[in-house]
Amino acid sequence: MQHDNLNEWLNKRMTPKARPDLAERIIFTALHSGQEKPHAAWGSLWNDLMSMVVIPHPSVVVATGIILGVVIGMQTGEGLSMLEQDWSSFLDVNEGGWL
Amino acid sequence: MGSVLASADDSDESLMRLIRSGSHQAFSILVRRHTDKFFGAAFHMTGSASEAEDLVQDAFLKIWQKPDIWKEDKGAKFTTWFYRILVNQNIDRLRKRQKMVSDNSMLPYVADSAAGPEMETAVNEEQRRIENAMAVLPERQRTAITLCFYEGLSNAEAADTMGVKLKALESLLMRAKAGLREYMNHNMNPLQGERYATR
Repeated sequence: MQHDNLNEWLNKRMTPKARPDLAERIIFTALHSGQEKPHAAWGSLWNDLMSMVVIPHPSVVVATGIILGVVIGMQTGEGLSMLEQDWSSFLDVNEGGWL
Repeated sequence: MGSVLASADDSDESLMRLIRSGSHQAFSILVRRHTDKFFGAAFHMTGSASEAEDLVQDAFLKIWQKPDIWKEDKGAKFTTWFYRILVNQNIDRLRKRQKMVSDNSMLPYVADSAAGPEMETAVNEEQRRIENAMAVLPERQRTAITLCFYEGLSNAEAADTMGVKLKALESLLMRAKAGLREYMNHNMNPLQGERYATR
């Protein structure tokens, strides 16, 4: 044994092989253990809040608003005319002057 | 989440990205790819096959359970980074229990040996000496030898892995080699019997 040849000596060190099922055991254990979800940062919270406020497609929103306005407006118009009819009938009933 | 399929051709770094999004499949590929390699490193650090298995398992489970510890922007290779996980896990292990390495650590090797009885005895004796020499080194010196000599990391990579300055690593290596030489000089003559190297 050449004592001054340390590298040669260390190179003789043998490494036992891992058991063949080691990788599968690790994979199986991981499958049954939870994975920690990343903590929500303030930046991502702010982004979430902004995404609730910011209108993604303004033109679509405006067009939808106009259509809904027209439809609701038309429905409201019919309601007014019916009210007018009701009021006029009330006046007709009051023609006798009892009110 | 985790719906992107991982492939065996994916790089380690790509697989880590998928693991961060919850892909167990990516984790499986990474584990099968590297278990044997890291087991070797863990064995060199611990000197025990069973402890090396535990160390590798704990390190892999750590990156599965806390994948956010992988910081891609640091630009480190996965393997270099994983050595750091192994080294830290080993330090934790040593802190928890100050276990002395026993001769039984080489039993798996002995059982697998195909050499004849006489050769086997000689080889086992040699192995026992090397293991004992490594076992008496302080943990940091043993880790430095493992990373630089057995795992082939550059001194700079090993220093980064161990979280020490380059000069400190070189000092660790120098002291480790001096300790091993001293051990060899004292213990290689069978008539002398074995003595532990001074640190």
